[in-house]
Amino acid sequence: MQLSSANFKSAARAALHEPNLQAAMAENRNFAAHVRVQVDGTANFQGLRAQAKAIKDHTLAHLDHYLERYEAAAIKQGTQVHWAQTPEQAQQIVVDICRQASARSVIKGKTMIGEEMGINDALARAGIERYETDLGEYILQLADEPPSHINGPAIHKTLEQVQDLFHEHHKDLGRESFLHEPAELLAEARRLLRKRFFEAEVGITGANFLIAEDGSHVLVTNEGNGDLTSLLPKVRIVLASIEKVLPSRADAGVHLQLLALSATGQPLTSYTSLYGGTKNAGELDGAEQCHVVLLDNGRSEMLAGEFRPMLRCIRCAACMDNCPVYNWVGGHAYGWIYPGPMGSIWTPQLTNLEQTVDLPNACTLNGRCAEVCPMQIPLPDMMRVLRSQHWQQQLTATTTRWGIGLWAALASRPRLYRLLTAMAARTMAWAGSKRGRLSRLPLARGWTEQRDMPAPQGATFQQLWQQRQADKNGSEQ
Amino acid sequence: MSSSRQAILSDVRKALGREAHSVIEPHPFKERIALSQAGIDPYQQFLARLEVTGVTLEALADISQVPEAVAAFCTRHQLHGPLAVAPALASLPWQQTGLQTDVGTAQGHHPIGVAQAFAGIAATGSLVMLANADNPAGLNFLPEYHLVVLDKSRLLGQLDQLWPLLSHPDEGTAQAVQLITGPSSTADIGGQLLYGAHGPRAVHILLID
Amino acid sequence: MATMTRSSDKPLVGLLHTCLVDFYRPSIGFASVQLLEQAGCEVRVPDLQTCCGQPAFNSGNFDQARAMARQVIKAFAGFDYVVGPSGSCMSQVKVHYPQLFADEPDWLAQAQELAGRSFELVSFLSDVLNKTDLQSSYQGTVTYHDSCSGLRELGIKQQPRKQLEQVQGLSLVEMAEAETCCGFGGTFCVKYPEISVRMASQKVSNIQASGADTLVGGDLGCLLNISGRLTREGSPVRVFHVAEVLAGMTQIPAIGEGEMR
Repeated sequence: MQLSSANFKSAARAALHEPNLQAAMAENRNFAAHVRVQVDGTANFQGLRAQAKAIKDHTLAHLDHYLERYEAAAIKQGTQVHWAQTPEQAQQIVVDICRQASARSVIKGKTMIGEEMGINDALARAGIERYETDLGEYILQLADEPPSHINGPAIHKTLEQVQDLFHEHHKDLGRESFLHEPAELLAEARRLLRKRFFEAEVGITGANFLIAEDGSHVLVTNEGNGDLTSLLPKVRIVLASIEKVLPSRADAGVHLQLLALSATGQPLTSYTSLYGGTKNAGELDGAEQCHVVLLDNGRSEMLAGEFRPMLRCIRCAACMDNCPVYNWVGGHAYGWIYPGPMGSIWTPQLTNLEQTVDLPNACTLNGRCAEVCPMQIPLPDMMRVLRSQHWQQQLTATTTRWGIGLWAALASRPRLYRLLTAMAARTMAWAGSKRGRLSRLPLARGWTEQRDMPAPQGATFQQLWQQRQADKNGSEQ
Repeated sequence: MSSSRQAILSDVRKALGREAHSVIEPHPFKERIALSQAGIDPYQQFLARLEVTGVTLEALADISQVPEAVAAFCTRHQLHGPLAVAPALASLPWQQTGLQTDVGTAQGHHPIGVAQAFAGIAATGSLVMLANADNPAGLNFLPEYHLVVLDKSRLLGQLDQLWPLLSHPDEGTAQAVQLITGPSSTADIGGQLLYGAHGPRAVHILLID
Repeated sequence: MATMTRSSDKPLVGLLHTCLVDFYRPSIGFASVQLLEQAGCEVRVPDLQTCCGQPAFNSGNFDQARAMARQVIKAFAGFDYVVGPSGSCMSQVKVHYPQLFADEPDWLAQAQELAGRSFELVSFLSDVLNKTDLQSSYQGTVTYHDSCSGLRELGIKQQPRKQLEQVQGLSLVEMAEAETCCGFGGTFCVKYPEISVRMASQKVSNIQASGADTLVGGDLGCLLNISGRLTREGSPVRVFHVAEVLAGMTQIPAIGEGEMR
């Protein structure tokens, strides 16, 4: 996917004025509030959270070991494990597997790693038909848009927009009437996609976790599309990244409950499946070939530094669902695959610092994301680390650089500071004295365009305090 | 791509300051945290969870009553078969139902799939299905109605109690372990919760008491 | 450790007045002093203080943030307690100073020592001094906005509400999303003004829907932002800092109010 995070400001501004998006995001705020009620009502959630973090920290500290163990166990189950350092290598692996299977079409479940790998474009270039089976992804395939959320890829689409999309794209299939009811739309999508499940030679899914103990991978869905994608085609391809490994099934159990609770408020999603390798003799369902592609794409580098905690991320999306900025601007404004707070850390790591300066800055450091993160990732602290990298590499906006520099220079000279602030306070107080506020302020248009600036009371506290002390001393003498 | 494999593992080791075959510190936990408090009756908790997930349950005194119960379910929902029945349940008296019964996995045309659960999890309200020759996984996902036979003695309190059972050598190898916690659902169309997205629109448990 | 000349055996408190209170609203500083003195403290105001360095820290200029932290550490040496009327500035001192000096053991020890005796005003009155007998009154229906740093980094949630309930004539109502950020965010409000204003407007609708006639909060930055949006929308809701209400200093114009109401 093309990185367009450098356009954050204009994209965010446009998003604020897009009524459909604003309606959808208001819905997302309500959904997030409902999820938090479920989380807060779950006994032992905090204990589970602490345990999950400890398990993942242990795994990451021995990642090479667990990857090798996972690989060995997976091979034993008949799975072929492929390693890709870059998205390009991963694309090549996937296209080669599809060609060897003489695949004309593939069915695909939702996979953010697949987005990161650029699999959709690679399949198109290879002339392989792709059918998205997650309903959100299906809607986006019709709309030709990228996901705006890592779990609900089409949360930015309203019902009316889905009605229009289905009408436009399904009319060739002999449908005449305009479908209004969500249930009718769903039935139509189900019927159309069911055919694709049976036709496709290859099924591609992501993986929520990889389990070193038995070489299986875990797939979490509510629709069941991931299971049909895994079970029906002869060839199964699983796209994963190296940090998804966990030591045991019991470890995965801890993370699975946290994931479901934090993502949707369910104790587990409708379908949580652990897939081993290929089907055994005598089995009627299942794939004859199972391939797992493991992507690095900068993660091994993250292990070394201060961004290692980000590798604990289980992609529950609680950080974005609870982010006041994300819930106004939507996911597309962030300009890459991963939006919201987690994306503001992931994107610079997986792409570059220069074109992603807005991401960790478009954050009020309110701390809500870290508060809800089931893996206790210190997201605001990492936003600040990125800002310090900007500062060191001269990427900080010039106005901020100058403003902060001047402020700091002044604040480190208390006498001069007191003199100048006293003058400024008096001037501003005088200008706003009648109304108690200013509607326009030089150099602060950003503030005053849509809100007033309350006026200072007049003298500074330091001035008044010293006066009070002098009066007190005078009266004591 | 074995060169990529070596490169990734070597990059990971470099980042961690580890050598190949360095010492592995012990895993931090033996016991896992349970999601709900002790002292709650697992069966009651299971029923309470099913209320939330929208899964229905009827209790039967004996497994031989399953075909009859399936037939009654079909009548209630005006379903006329054919039934897809797991080989694990093939020996039950299906001819009583008067419905066409196909033993094996489900195909696209089966509205009803009948399968046997390996276990149930009270804390999460889940059914545990092992995908193997006796219980083909297609039964769980292709039909619109998923009927699951669960022995009450297989109801576990916590998810954590499941894992040791799966490692037991008697269980053989399953291609997949599927935890089912509600019907197939989606909220992708305008944020409304709808059942029957790709898989079953209803899950009904036949609990053998 | 520097020693201070004491005029009594009362706990000696250094008031960290914060740069915003110093500049915009000294009445909050005086209200803080009054509350602390009523609670039996001796209060002094070091004149070497300017700003805690949070703007530099949050902008990624860690060097300057450290320089300003050193200045604060020096200015407040020797006090029994350092107290300020802001969750955000006190969190900078309590939580972030030690982070800033992680690689400088000498300063780290001093930062930790300072952190241990530094408190936000209302939580200091409630949690350290167990002060519950307030003598003030306010006629109005108040809703309280939880400022982010105080809430999430210092655990300030019930303390201001419990104190406000003691104020005669005051009735407290909760607004929806009281814990949601108002969109101030330090430099965020000028770097991303459209998003910031949208967040402030949402806060304003929640305040209005609560039926309150007064908004109270513990951080002047947030209050300037919310007040600025309230007045721009023509709302009559008055805005005060929690210290002003607790100290009974509400006879003056509220934040954003002129001499003539």
